[in-house]
Amino acid sequence: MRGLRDFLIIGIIVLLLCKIGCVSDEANRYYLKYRLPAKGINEVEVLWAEPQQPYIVIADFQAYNASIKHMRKRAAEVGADAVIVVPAGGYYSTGEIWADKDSQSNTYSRMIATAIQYKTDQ
Amino acid sequence: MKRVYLLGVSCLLLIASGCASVTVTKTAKGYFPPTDPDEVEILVTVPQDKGFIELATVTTQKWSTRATAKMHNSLRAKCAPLGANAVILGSSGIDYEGYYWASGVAIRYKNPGTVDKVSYKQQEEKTDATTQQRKITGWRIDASRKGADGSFIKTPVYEDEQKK
Repeated sequence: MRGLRDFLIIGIIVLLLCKIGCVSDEANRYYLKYRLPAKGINEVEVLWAEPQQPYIVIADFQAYNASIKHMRKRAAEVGADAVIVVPAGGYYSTGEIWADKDSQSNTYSRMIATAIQYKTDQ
Repeated sequence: MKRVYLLGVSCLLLIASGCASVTVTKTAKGYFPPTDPDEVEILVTVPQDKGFIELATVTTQKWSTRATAKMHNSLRAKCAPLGANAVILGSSGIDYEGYYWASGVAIRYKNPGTVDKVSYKQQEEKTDATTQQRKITGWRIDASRKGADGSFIKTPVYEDEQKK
């Protein structure tokens, strides 16, 4: 009886940890008609805004609970030069009174990212 | 075990501190620069006069039924980083716990009247500079028109207008 109880407790803990920590609902899109060679993760630049130089969009990624590192890894897999990340959604304080203030802006539910390739003159 | 305990306490604290949540799912292709949350429109009808693209589906939940305006601000705050000019509300309701929720579509105008966050601020500074150059010497009261608070509409009289 005690063994069954311990088993249940451990099972619940494992389920909770998976629920909280895992990436889920990952849904990506790839736009090019051809495949680019994969790159090393450290070769992919992480951007928080649009770059100044011209670029083409290679792919869009999004997933729940995903980290920037996860998006960078995906961008490296598709051979991107850079990935623009936008943490989206999350908590919002019901005490907030101004639209441009968001005390919970450090929270997000879904990480959104756009993999890009810089245009060259050639 | 300690980690689970800490996460549980964090969840309880979030509920106690009054947090709603917003879920955004991107549907558009590529990246769009962020807009000013103050300028994001909340619509219940599809704009017929402006072309737009859909950026994302959005849902906000865990709101008091008396906090509709705050709920709209949550959509503004969470859709602006994606480059939204407006959110078209599609449906809303009350969940089994009595909380209000709403969902809709975040859109971006093809030729926005409201511009991106950076250029909007630049435009604002430019407007301020123009206003500063024109000195207000008094106010003109229009007795035929009343504002929302019941007072008469006032318009500024500039120094250069008076000279004319």
